[in-house]
Amino acid sequence: MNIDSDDMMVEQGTATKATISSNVFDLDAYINQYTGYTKIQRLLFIADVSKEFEKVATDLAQKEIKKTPNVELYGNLCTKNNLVTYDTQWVESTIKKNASQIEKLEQDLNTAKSNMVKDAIRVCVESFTYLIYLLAHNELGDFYYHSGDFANALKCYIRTRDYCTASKQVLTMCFNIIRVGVDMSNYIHVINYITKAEQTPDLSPQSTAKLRAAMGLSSLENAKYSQAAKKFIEAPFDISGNLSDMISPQDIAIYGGLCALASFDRSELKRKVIDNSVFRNYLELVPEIRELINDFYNSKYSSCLNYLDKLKVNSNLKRYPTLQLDIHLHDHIDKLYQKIRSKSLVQYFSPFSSVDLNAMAAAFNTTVGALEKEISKLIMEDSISARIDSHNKRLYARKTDQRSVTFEKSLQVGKDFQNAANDSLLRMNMLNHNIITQGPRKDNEKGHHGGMGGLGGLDPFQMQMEMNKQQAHHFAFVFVVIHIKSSLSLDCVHVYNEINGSWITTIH
Amino acid sequence: MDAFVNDSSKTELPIKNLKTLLLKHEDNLENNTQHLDQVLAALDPRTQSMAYLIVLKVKCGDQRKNVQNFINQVSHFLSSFNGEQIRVIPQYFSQVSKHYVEQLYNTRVPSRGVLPLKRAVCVFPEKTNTLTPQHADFLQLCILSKCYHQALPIISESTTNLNPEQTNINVKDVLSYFYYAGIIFTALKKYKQALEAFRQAWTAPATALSAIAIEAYKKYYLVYLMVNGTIPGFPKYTPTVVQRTIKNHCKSYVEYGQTFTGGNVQEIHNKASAHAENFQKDKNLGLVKLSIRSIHRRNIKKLTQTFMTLSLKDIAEHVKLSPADAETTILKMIEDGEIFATINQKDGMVSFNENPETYSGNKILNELDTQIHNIVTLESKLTSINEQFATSPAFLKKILTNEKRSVSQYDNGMEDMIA
Repeated sequence: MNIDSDDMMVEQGTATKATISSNVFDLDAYINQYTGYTKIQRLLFIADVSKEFEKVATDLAQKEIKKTPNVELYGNLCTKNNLVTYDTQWVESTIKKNASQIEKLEQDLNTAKSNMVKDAIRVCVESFTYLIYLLAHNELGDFYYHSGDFANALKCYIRTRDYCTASKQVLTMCFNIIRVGVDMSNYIHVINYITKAEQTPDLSPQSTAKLRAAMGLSSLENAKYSQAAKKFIEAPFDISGNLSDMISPQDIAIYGGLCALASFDRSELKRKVIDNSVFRNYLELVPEIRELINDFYNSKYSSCLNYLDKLKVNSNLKRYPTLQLDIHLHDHIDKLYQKIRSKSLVQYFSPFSSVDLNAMAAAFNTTVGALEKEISKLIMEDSISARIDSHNKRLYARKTDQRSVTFEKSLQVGKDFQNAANDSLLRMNMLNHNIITQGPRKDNEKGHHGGMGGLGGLDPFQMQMEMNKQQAHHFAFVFVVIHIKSSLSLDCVHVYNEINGSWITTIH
Repeated sequence: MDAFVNDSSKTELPIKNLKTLLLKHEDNLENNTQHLDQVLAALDPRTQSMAYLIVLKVKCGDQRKNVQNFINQVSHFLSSFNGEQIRVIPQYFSQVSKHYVEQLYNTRVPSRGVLPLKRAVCVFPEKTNTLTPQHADFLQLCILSKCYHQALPIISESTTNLNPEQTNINVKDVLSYFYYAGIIFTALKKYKQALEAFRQAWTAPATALSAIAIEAYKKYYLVYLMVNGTIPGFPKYTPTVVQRTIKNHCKSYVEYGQTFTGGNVQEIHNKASAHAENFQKDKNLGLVKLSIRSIHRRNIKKLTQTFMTLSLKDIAEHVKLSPADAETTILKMIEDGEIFATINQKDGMVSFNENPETYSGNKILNELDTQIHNIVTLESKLTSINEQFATSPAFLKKILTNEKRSVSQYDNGMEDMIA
């Protein structure tokens, strides 16, 4: 805690420490980090979202698709915008090729099936699915996966499940399904198979990295930022390109860094992110994120928020697009930013008992009016325990008097208990004497029921239950009173002992 | 007649015998209604309460009696009767008091009955905290004559006992008592207690829905909206028939409540005027208006959590009122002790303060002391009742049959398995 407060220096003015290379975003360099379907997907997404890169991205996407047998996707792309000229020849030849390919593969499968040897089928199915994977790289194309028929691809992968014997085969199966799942945005499958894969013995660091990254992605998509941050941070360092069909190492740094900022507290941030030697390797790939986290930790909010704004709106990063153009972050970026901003407001205020709103507004690059609104929202949400002096433009920390609160609470609990007990006593008495609102037919008898003498009309069990419930309430109250006693000043205690004498014995 | 008067002074007889003796004369009295006033004049309500009451009861059935005279006689009786003699003929007493209230209502002088009935309520039951039919009659008079303060000490006490043998109380009396109590608490702006009273009325044990419960629920609903700003739920012990059907009878209220929680003041106004006719018919329009006003109050209260000082202009903007209205509302809230604030009219700033209550000193110790003692008595009461039930033959019998049943079920299960 001491170290924390030493570090906690409020930054004056604006300081820009790291100089950022002023190169414009290079789409080519960025997209070449990826392979496979995610490359196409990201290109299409950029083309969709950004006007500036629409043409380049569409062009690249078109080229990428042509390397695969995905005729359907190509058709979609062509009909959607007129930047691409429809290549009829390619489409026709690809369809023909696809057909013969699938025929061949199915024939192989049938032959194997007819053998009815378990191992043979497994080999066959696996080689079939594995082939799909290989062909992607060899530009031969695979009908199911690469033609965008994920449902059938998934069916094939899952079918291999029964024939997997060695742990390596299980892993391959899991990875296949995870990949399809991520591409389909079907994260339930992804999570299931990640858990399955994690159970296999002797996981290599590469496999772990992939699993953690996939898990992080699915948590991010489900808006569980804290979990996502943990998973990304736990991922072993791997820049071999093994992840390229899903995520790039830079992505891990950015996703993990932002999620951690949004969900970890200061000490967690220090322990799990800044002092984490493995994750630091990732952060080195995107120095902006590293600076951002350090600034946040060192309470240089203005510079930290500057970085954030730059990342979002106007990226000067060579190898990375603005976060708006990222396929996974796009939906979450606003929520994450909001969280980071609120957290920095809370953290900024935490060591003070009062703060000048003007200084605070300057530190956060905003106006006093806007800041006041933001803070009042945070106070309403109970994130900051403070009150605003709107006249003098100051923010005061709120001192809650534990003693008063305890008094107030215990008196309330006591009254509630008495009310509840009296209520149920009356209800029981009504039941006991059979004084009940009844339908008109029985109404005539009501007068004669007068004294049933005992428990005629009621269910004693119900009553017993009610009694026990009441006693539980009572003990709650006793507990609170004892609690008050411990927080009372000494001169009151003897009075309590006196009272205690009478009622403690009653309880036991 | 003379025989009746003679018999009535035999107070040395056991009270049961006296009762049989006096009731023999009832037919005779009914046939000679013109002499009843003379008989009453000869009786002393203090010592011959039973006889006096029997005559009064007979007078209730007499259509040609002098109403003013009757009211005077009952008032006289109520102010001086002896509870012990009355308890053996409770049905007569409740009949007389009902008729008395009715006559007071018809002659438009309900306030005359308040004090006599207040005594009746206090003296009649053998044990304190016992609910009697006269409780409901008394509260009804208090409401009719707007003497709410007279009723307050009675309804503030928790009445949990019922003794139908001595008081001839029925479910209608119980329900109306709580309904009236709720109305009185509401009129005195003690909303928390009002809610409890109304809730008693509609959560009372029931196998059918009572009209009193429905009216109580309507008022409960509006008061709950006003106090908490949310829609009330049903407590666990609510009878199923109430849970299932009561909302069908309060459709306008439920609709209004749904709009209310939306928080859009304009829409709430629209909804309120759309159902105004229904609310007016149930005489709840005032509560509806109060509930709308409570929205602003709640919003201002929220601001006190957030701000220490805020200009009147900003407050008005936050709660969507005109600055002048905002100022009067705040002033009212300060007066009511809802918020702690000061208004500086020079620069138009309002500074909100914390609750100055420090919970120290004798007052709070006394308060705690009484609370704890209340709870101790309540607890011993609960324990004794618990014991009483646990050892009651009916309860033991039930346990025994249940045990037998579970044993036989187990046996059957075993047999099934073997087979």
